[in-house]
Amino acid sequence: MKPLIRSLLSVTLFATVAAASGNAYAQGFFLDDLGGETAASIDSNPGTAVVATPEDSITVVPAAEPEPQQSTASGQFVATNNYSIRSSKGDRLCTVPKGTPLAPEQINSERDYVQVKVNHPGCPSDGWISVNGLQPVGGSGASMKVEVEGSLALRESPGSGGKFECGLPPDTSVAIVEQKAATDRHRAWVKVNLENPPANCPREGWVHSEYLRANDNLLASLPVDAAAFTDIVADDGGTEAGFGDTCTDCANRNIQALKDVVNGVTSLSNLDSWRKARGMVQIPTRGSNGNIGPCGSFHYNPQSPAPVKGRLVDNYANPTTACVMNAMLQEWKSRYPSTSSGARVQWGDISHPTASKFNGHKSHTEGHCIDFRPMRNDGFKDEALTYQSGAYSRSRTQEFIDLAKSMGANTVLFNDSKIDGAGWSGGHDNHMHICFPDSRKTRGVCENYKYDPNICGGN
Amino acid sequence: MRYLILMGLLLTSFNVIANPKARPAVSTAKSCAQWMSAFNKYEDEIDGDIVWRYNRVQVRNWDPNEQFSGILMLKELAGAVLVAEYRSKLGEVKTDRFDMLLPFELDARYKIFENFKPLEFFRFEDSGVFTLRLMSGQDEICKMSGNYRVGH
Repeated sequence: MKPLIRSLLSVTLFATVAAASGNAYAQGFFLDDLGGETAASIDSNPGTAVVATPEDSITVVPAAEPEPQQSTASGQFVATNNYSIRSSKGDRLCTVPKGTPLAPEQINSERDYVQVKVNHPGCPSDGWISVNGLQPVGGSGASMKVEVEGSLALRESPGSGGKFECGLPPDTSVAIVEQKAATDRHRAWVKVNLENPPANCPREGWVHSEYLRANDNLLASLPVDAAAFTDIVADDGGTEAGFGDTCTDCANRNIQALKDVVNGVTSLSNLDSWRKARGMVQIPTRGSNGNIGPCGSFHYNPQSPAPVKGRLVDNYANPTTACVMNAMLQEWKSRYPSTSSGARVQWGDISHPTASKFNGHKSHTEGHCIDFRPMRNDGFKDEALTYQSGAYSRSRTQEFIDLAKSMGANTVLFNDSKIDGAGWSGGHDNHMHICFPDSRKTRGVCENYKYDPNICGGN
Repeated sequence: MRYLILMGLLLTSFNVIANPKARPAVSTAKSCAQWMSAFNKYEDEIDGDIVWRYNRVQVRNWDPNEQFSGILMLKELAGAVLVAEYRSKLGEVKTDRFDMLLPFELDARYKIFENFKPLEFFRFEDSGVFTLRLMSGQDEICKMSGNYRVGH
């Protein structure tokens, strides 16, 4: 349960930032700056988010003496973006715009959908929404703690231009007392109250919300409706977001799951340094050319399309997909450890940080699909390979596809008719096109995946 | 007699200049792929160090999954020119010549057509066919063709 809420909050907070940044990648949005570049990008680029909140800011007055569990259900939430409201069977009933106030009533047994009271034209008075669609905006439940490596800047006023007051160390407890309206350029900033301010820190100030995590499980006290959402898989191309191409809230709780998996590992695996855009994370690579991928994998043709400001633009994946990809790479490397083997995983285009279509691809829009080269029967070589080639290994390729399917791949395109479980499609003689939806199965793989440094060796 | 010898030398020289076929001594013992090849240059981690490597690749197609970094030529063939041509299915034709040859940093046996940048040349909206010709004067020493395809 705890990871779920951590995930929820990290995602909703991240979604706020992502939404605020609009074309995040192009603006240099990444989470390695504490109140600096990240905030600057947002502040100067309010994006196109439309929210019906007229106030300049939302002031939250803490309840006098809140009862911890009661505060949960009464805590204030808004929709993180344009989100679907559904029936308990998953049918779409309406869409609420970003910023719509929502009051939680029940949660399903999987704890990934919440029944909420809705007051929006065209919507019923209550319905179900993905937990990814809920953003806490304060109230007595908004007890948070600082989660950073290093320290988080506390500023006198919102925005990176605000006067620096002090640095808050990790785990500092704060309470949100004010949040800017979703239309405000400083909407990613929140005013916090410090119960026990560190030395030289004032009791109140503004911090960037991305670096706060909930202390408490804000949904803990909700009654469970065991019958609701018993077999629902997100649609809309794998996300609950109301719009695909510019989806900013695709960043779901698996960002946190992914972080839990890969943090603590050297080099490639510090998720805070992973770039994020359009709700996707960039699969990390090493080297100036970008060929060296996670866990012994090889990223081919990284310079196509041409990098932007020196950064690759072909390797952004939905967080769940990224997580499953890492799990698959690890499992494969446990079977074929040598990076000089023809069985080394070679992957190519995934998705672009700012463009839903790139390199002529039609189905690499939201980070769910990855191109892989077929397996070789000789040694590793950076060369395209078709299934007609003498160096092609059908048995290894079949094994790879079987592994992908066991980890939740729902679409596999590859034109070797002797391969089981792959569909034919023009142009797929020289690569496997494998898609991992954000489904119960892939999420399960992600949640059960544990990074093994003995296999991936720090990669 | 002296004039006859001089005249003979002059005519011989003239023949060399006037007849391009007499110019390069291209061995027919070598195959096209030996004279010219595409290559991929990449980085890899070897014993903890990130190093540049390359491998020669067969030219078949150009698409997001099948690309190459450039064209190499055996260094013993001097004065060659690479002619790249593209014909789209809609009739667009693009032809460029590349003659800047530099030693290939990763293998002393080869020279590289330095100003031929495939990622810059292959920027077409429609699919088509491309041809890479290695020319020595008027002689076509080697030709490689493939299909240009958009992504899938």
